Amino acid sequence: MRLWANNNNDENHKDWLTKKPNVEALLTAIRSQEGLKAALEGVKYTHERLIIESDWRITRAEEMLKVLDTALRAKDS
Amino acid sequence: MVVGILIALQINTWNEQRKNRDAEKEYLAAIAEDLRSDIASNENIIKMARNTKTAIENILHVLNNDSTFEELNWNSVRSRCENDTIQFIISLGRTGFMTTPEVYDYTFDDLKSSAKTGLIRDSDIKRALYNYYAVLNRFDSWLEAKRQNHVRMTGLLNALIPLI
Repeated sequence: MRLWANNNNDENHKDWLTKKPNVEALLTAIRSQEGLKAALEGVKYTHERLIIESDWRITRAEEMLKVLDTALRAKDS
Repeated sequence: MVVGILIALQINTWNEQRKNRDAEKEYLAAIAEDLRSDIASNENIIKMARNTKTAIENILHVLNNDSTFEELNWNSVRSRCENDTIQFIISLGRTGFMTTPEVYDYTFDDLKSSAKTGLIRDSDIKRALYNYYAVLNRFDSWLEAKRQNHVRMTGLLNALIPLI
């Protein structure tokens, strides 16, 4: 899910530079959004877990790959 | 005559065994490729998740402090634009990104659905493969439960779009 379709699009940057969004109003709105902090903390935790899970998956895949590579080498010899 | 038939049967058995050994080797090599894809996919997820986490920390920092943008960490959200305000806006957008783990189990699934797991003669390898793929699915339900937080967060942030 994205807030903008293409964050790295130069045209988008040009628009923002021209529009010059009111940063103070934006910060005030962010700070007054009820529940935003809790939601952000929750999503941050999800990403932390994702990092741990993916790291664990890489270790498991590498172990499995080692087993298969050994078996394949044995079949080649 | 009988000896001739026995020899023919034996040759047929050898041929079958050779074919099965070749197929086993091909399947194991294909599973190894799937595992390499798993590794690459998870490395990408870690990179993306770290970037999003940094973006969220930037927003949290602004929520928790009267900070200026200079104090924020743009390292993992830095785009071609050097403007701090735009970097902050990009950070806001970045918070919505979430890539979830994909399991490349196509070859093993093919083996199972075509009832060919018997081609893998080493029972230790077969057990390890069953275990490897079974354990990977346990995280999906946890992640699905956490999706509510994500929906709530993007809903709250989307309300800010008119200000940007």
